[in-house]
Amino acid sequence: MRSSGIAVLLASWAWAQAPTESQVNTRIDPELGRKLWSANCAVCHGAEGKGGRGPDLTSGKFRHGGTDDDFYWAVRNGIPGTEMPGFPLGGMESVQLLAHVRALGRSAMPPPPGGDVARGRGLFAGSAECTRCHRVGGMGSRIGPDLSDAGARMPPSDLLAALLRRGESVLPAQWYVRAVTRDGRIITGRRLNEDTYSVQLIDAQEQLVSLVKEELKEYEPIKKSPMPSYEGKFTREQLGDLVAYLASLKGTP
Amino acid sequence: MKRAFAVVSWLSCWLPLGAQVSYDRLLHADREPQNWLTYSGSYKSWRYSPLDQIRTGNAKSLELKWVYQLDTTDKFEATPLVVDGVMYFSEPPSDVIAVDAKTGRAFWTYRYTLAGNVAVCCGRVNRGLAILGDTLFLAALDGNLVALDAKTGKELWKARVVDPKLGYTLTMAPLVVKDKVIIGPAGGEYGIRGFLAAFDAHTGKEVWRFHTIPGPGEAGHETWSGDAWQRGGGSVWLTGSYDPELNLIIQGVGNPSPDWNATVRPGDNLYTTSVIALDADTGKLKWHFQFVPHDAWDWDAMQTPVMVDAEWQGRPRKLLYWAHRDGVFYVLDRTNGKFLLGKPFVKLNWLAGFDEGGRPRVQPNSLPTKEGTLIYPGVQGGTNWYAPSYSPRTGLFYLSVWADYYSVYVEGAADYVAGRIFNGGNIRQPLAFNRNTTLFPNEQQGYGALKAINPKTGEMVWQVKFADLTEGGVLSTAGDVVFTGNREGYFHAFDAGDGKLLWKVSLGGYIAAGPVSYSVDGRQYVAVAAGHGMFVFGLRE
Repeated sequence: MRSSGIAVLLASWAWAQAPTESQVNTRIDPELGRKLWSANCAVCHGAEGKGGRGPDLTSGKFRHGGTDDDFYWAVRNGIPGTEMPGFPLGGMESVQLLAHVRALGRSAMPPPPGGDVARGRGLFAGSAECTRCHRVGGMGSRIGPDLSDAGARMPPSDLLAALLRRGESVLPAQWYVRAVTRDGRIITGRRLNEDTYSVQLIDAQEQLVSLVKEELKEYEPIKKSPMPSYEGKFTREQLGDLVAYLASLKGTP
Repeated sequence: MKRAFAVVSWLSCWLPLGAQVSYDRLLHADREPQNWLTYSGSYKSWRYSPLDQIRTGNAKSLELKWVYQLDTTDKFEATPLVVDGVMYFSEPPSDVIAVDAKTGRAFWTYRYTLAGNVAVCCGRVNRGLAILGDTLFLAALDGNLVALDAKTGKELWKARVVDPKLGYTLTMAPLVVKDKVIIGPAGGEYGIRGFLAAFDAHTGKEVWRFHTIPGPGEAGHETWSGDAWQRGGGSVWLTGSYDPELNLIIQGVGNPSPDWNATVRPGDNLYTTSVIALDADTGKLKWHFQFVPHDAWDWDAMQTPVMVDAEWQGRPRKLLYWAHRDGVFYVLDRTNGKFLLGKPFVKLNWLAGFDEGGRPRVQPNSLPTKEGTLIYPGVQGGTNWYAPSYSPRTGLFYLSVWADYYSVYVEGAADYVAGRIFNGGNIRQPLAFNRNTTLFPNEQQGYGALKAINPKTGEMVWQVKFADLTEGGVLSTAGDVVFTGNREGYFHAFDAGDGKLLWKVSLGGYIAAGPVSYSVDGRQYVAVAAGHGMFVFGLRE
């Protein structure tokens, strides 16, 4: 009874909201799509769609919204059981927004030509010292974000950008913290949880550490990425190899 | 001799258990500090316990005495009742449990079967019970008022109050006045037509009903146009207060429907987002005060009415303290609803001031639009239904707030379909509606806090900020301790005078209920619903 109710609902909504053919044929205006994204989606999914309170939408894979119809339904009605609310967008706006969201996921783009996955893997674990912070397939440190599915989450162009930039602001879920104990010990680590009185983190030695704030001399969240820039440290070919390797990491299916 | 003593102590111990909770006892609940006889502790709704064994000086030695774990995973918002050593509370959605208040061991459990799926905006919750004589009253989610034998949990009668298929549900703790049980329905997001109704406590028969949305021919109907009144909202989902001297039930009324598309309901939309005062015997309206005429932000007046007799500008007055969801602390004269004070207690940008009668002057461009309008406070309000507390010892009013937080209010379609969500738009905001510890907001996006307000001026005296938001009710005591829990799962004791933290414990689950205090065998306890358990604390022995 309930599912047939939903089916009726879907049908009536599709009738009311699915873009008409003329709307589908409307020219895609990237600027409008970007504006709609900024106004409605960015607060949760991030300005670049890399996620925050809501999931990363740059992978090209969608748990809800795989088909265009699914997408329109999720945007219009929200997703039950999640924090995703519905947005009262018109058919035209939905088309433009969908174009923008589809453009976020560019993982199908080929890596920069010439990149060699095997050489990239060697660099990653070797002279680039990526595994001092990052982990892939169970190898490497847990202090930085796990990159086992980096290629599924980010297109090669974004992977390259991530290697070159420095000091970028990161989402609260990826903040690091720096604490100084009363006896002068400095503890830094990636924040896992925080409340009024305490903070839980994974420190540089990969220890799970829980600190009571009132027992600290200093405490501050680090809202910028601690990752160094690889600009000038590697040749263009080496960067291409690294990107090729990272792009090949698709996680466990 | 020894035997005689045993008999006497057996009698003195057990005699009060046989005593029924008469209306007279409810009327003088403050004479029974060992008990917690109504949702708000007394008809005045102070949530103040005259017990003083737990004090600022010894609160640090509070410890867990017992926990009662629920079977449910629904949100636990209930306030327990404590009657002569027995604690009664509702388990969401609509079950009832009686336990020994000293040990937490159960006497009986009443399981209620819901009639299928029930559409609710905000969880399958229940906020508590009422008692009269030997009878407990439960407002069950799917629309029945249920009377139970307090000694056995056996159902005595069940009265159909509303139809959940039309979006009406029951979530509030009933209020017993004389021989009547007072309740109203939730459903302000479903286009209901709200009411407050009285039922005969012995038979379940309806005695009177006051429609919070007046129909044709009734006073206030002129504040509606067309047939918008038929689905105008005005829900009632939080327990009111009762003034026996005035014989008035003081009750908040919910938001108009649809919430955010106010264009389909021109007018002031009485008696939504208002406080109403009804004759307890007849249900006739004596006065009303509308906090927000033509409310377009879902700022319903679902706050506990706190009634205090105090001097106001040199003369004694019967006052009503009301920290409203719109972010303003109000003081009214509860004999006539006259506006005495309106003072913001959080950042807000919709209010330009008040006229002499207390009608707010709304800033231009504050209404929701299709593009979205950014308004402080956000949709959850500066405060909400979280029970406040008033301490006669400090003279302060304590409440949980969402400070300096906004929502973007988006006007959308308002097509009414019976039983379906009818909120006429949408909300966007940076803060999470639900407990969220890894993505907690930063202070610029708003913060949760416990605030102490001087009710004579509306000025803040102190506040305690939390990393996450808070939905905790507040309890103050004669030991000058203020208790509250928060969304982080901490339960705290603060100094009522200055907000200094005296004690805290991590209960590991969302706290969205008001604590109570009671005593058994001369020992004071504090109880709070947290996560999916009832937690009870006392001093280390």
